Amino acid sequence: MLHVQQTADACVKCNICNTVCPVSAVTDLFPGPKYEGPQGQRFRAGLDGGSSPDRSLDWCSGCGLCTQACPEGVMVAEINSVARAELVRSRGGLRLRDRLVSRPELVGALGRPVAPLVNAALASPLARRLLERALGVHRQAAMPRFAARSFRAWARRHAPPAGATRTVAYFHGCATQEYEPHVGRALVRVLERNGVAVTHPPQGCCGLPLISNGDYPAAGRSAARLVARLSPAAGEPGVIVANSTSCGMTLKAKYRELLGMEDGRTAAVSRAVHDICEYLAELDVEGALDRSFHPLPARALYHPQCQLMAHGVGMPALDLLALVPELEVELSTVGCCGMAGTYGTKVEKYQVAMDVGAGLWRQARDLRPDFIVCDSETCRWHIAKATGLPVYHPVQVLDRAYRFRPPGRP
Amino acid sequence: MRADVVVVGAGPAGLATAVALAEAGREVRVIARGNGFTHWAPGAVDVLARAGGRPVDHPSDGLPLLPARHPYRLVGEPLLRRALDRFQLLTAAAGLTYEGSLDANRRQVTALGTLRPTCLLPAPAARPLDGRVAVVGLDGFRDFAPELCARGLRAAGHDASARSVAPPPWGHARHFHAVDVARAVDDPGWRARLADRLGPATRGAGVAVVPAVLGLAGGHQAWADLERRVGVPLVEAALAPPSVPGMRLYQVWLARLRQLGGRLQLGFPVTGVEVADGRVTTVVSEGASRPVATRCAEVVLATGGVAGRGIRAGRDGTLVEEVAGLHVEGFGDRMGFFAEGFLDDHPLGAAGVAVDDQLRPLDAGGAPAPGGLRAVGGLLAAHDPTAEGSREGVALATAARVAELLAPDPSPTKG
Amino acid sequence: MADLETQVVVVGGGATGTAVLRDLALRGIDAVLVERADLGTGTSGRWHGLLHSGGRYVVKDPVSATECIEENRVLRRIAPHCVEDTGGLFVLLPDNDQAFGDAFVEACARTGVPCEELRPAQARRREPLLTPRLTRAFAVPDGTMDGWKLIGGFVADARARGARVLVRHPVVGMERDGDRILAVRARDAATGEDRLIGCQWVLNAAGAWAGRVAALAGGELRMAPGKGAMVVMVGRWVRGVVNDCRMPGDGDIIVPVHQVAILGTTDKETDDPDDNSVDPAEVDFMLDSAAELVPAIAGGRVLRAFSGSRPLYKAGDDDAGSRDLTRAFFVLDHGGRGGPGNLLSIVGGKLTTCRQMAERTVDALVARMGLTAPCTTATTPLPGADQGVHRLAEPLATVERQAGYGELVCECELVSRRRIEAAVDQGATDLDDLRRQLRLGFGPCQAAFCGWRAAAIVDERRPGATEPLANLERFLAERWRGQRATTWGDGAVQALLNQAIYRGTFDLAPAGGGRGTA
Repeated sequence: MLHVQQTADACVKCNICNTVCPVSAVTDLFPGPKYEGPQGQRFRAGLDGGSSPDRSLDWCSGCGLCTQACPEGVMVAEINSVARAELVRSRGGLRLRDRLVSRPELVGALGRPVAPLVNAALASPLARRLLERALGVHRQAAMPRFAARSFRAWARRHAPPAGATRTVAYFHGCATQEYEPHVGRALVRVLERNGVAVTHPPQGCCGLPLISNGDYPAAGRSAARLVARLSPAAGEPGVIVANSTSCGMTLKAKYRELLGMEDGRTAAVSRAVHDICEYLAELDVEGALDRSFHPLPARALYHPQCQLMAHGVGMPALDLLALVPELEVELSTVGCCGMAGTYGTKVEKYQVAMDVGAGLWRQARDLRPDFIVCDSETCRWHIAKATGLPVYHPVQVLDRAYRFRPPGRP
Repeated sequence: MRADVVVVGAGPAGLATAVALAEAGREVRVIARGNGFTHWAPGAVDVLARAGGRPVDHPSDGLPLLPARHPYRLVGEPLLRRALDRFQLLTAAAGLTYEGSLDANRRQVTALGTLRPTCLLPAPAARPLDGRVAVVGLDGFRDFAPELCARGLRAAGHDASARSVAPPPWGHARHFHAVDVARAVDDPGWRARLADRLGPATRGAGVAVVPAVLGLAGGHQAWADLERRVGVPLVEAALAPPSVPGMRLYQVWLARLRQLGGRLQLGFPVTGVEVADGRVTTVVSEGASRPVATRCAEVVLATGGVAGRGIRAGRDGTLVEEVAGLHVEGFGDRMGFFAEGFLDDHPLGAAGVAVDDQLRPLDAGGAPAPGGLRAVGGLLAAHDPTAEGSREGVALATAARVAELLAPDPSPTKG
Repeated sequence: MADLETQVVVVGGGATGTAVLRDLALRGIDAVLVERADLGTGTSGRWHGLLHSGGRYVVKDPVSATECIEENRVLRRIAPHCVEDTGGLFVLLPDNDQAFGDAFVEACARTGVPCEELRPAQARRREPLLTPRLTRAFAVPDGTMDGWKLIGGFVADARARGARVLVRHPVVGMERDGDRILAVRARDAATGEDRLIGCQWVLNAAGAWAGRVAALAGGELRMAPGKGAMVVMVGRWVRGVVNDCRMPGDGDIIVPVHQVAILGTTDKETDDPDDNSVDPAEVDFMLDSAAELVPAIAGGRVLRAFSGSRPLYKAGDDDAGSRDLTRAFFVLDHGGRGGPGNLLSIVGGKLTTCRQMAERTVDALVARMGLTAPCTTATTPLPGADQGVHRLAEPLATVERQAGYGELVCECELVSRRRIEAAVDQGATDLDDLRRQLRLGFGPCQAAFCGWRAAAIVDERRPGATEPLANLERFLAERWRGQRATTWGDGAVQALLNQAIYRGTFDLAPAGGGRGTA
């Protein structure tokens, strides 16, 4: 954590971060990453945070585009994040809504037993209005639906095929587990197709929503628990794949950068984490990727999630999708869709989230793709709702191209 | 990861090189720590404003005065010309017209009322200052003080007066910078309302000088539209960073690169290269939890000198090239970095990597670096892009040279 | 014939002179202060900002230590808004004489400096970047001060009570009649005209320059200025003051002042108090010394370096190197030293004790004037005292409260347009004056963005008073002087970006050459 603060030293006040911030572009309420980050940091006691009186930093969505654009290596978004955590601490913790939305595992545990009810409620305008009034979750914010059966319930019954030459552990994350087990199933199929066996270590929430909302102590507990559970997999098989680029980024970097977890076990887990597309692309570089995809005649718009860019591996999904014959892929021109995890669900921030993504909605409207591809789950829900188009994880597209021949083709 | 050519750095040299390579048929991946001088420099193409200690009015005349190892001397004037021509074609095709030629420098109005020499000017900065000049600012925009600008223009002999207009209602009333205004100008409705305010403020003037904020997307369309509506030629004055005209150029380069299948990855610096059998095979960049290796056939370093963090200036006067540890002539101690006067020429600005005429970095003994490695732009020794006004010109010229050298080999086996 | 008449002329607009002026005003004595440049441009503008607890002197100079802790309390009472309550630590390192720790504790008790020993782990919780090698740590009530704010407060209070201040009026001579000074001749630097100020007494508070002022009066006074260099870091690095727990020496203190850390310091005898140069070797030394206390600071970004001359007084010919001269102050009555009879010089001392120095001086003067007028400066708060102690985050909170993000001209230091306009309306047009009053250009970018904004605002507010680009260039040149010895690494990137902005984009040229305008 101290290292993050120290990067403020390098700021040359050039304003490049301000040019890429999608939030300050659409609202006056956020003074911008330069102001809240390295500039404000000099007014916070010592190098360690210290109470920051500026509520305006709560408007930062944590997309991280500022950190990526900075020529000097200032970790602008991370400085903001630490300052927010200090603000939350000095206020005595999170409000009820934020405590809830930052605990998807808890929401999952509470909701799964009554999943059909919850799904119905979330689809009911009246119930959503009440939820907005009671909790502050915007009535129109994109919400997922509970799946009938959780991912792990399927994984428990799934026998890996024989003849696997490699093994990876799978960090599926809360969203795959509760809402999108089909994404997980697609991932497993794609890996197994490539001779990779998939294990499902006990896991839990990576804690990113807690980090984003500013509850570092709770995030630290979540992180420590997860590291302990994933630690054996970091040793053997030594590779942990993740399909949520947000969770993946958190595991790879944020425990160390933000929560100050610098022990060897955390480092080993972090090093072992690969985004699934990163892993598949690496297989391809080795010549070990099965490239026998059926044609998929369609036009797709690929939106590389902002936090995917924080992995530092470029856009491996583009390389993979390029292997699918007849699939046209257009690249999104916006840096962030606006959802930013739980940010876009909040009544006061929903409109900002919609405005941030406006360029993407426009691009979708002009391009009229058959579907959109995006690596992170909350983004997919937000984009789907805003555009009315289906939105898939890249691995779902690959899975389809592996398994389905277009009708009338040999 | 795998790429054909990796370009390290996303400033003007990196992007110009990436585009030139992509147009020559290579598959290019740009990996950079962050954005660069496109966002800092005022959006013109500086070729040569000073040589031999004196101002240069005609860059072509100034070229022979440059030292033998100067990037322009290594690349040669014909290639520099071709690079500038191609630049003008590329940008014009993307709706960003640049006027001028190597044969004569022009003047770009700045927010301080000075007239900076440059070679190619984007159209919004190129209108002549004929007749009465109305300098018009925006209330609340702290990066342009119209009276300061007008004062400078008057000192240069122009009949200039200053006004300020209120921006039309918008969502940035409390605070905004140049890019916010530019995005608002992109909105035709807001632009029309702005024109309504600019009209009265510029009536009777021969030309109006305004800050460089007239649109960001769509090239020069917004400026041209605004000019039509206002009815008076509009000149964009150069501002301190962030540079909207520079960002327009950045967008053109990026779009062209993507169109040709190239990629840009920002946010993670390249930390090293791997060499096997005397040739670079891999670029290693920082990743979120472990280094990322990208196998490639060629590497072009466009990391900028000290200003771009391509070279680190140490406390003890030593200079270290940050990617491949290439040789850089250092200083005995750090007092040699900078001159006494703030506006003097500073030796550190000219520090860089020496290269041969194939842009291969040379070691201390003058031998070229391992195969597959080139250097372009501000990283090169023997020139100071700021002091001599040559940043974009060197970027374009060296980019063109690299593209020439690395155009795909027609033979089937390529290393 | 005199242009002005007064009872007392105070020479020198630093902390001492302005404190004296205020004291006189509070006692109803009419006075005029003359200062050759702007207020606080002598040693008071070139120091490390420490509000001494006295801890540095408890062993070496106990009298000084007691004076310090007393005045520490007084200043917190009368000028809390000029003080940041940072606290301080004395840190015993393994290479130090470990016995000094006990000596320190005892000496604190004897001199009345509050001192609490902390366990090393406690000390590191308080200062996370402190070296893990420390063996012992002691907390003392050090604080940090904004010298210009204090001086400004003294002057505001004095003026409100009728005192007059003439800045940019160097003293060029004194009219005498025998043993008495009749008038002080000061030259208006703006117009070149002399002002003759008739007076009954002259108080020489010119600090390191006191010898020269005394000489103008025909008085005898030899100063032994001690030049000290300081290094300013871009970031604050420490929450409170961190001292090396040993006999006071060079490079043994890190002082967090507002948003920066000031590393101190050195001590060299000098003849020329106007010599503000800093040697790169001194910079390296101070950085390395500070790294003994806070290891990570070695990799930190240096903002600039500066030096100032301590107003040390050579009491006799014994000369043990100027550091060992006492920091105690002296009120010298020239009447007993060969004249003139109505000149008092106040020399020595440190900024923490300026109020007390003023009290003693004015007491001495009042006695000679035959008046009964007790000092009330220790109990009369300065204007602005009701704001309470300064907190680091206060400027951020103010901007937040007013949502004044768009108002900021100097973004690094959160200086708003309104405040600049107010200062200009009050007479400040030189950008360097604005810097002292408002911290304009003090931040990491060293006026890259605010310099020309401010020059434009000055021109707008007082058309014709300045030539904006000349004002700007002077300011930039002055900022640059402090950076040559300290610019490498991150600082070098900033310096080159600033060149790209001012020479590249704005095409400012060195006077008489270069690219220039059309």
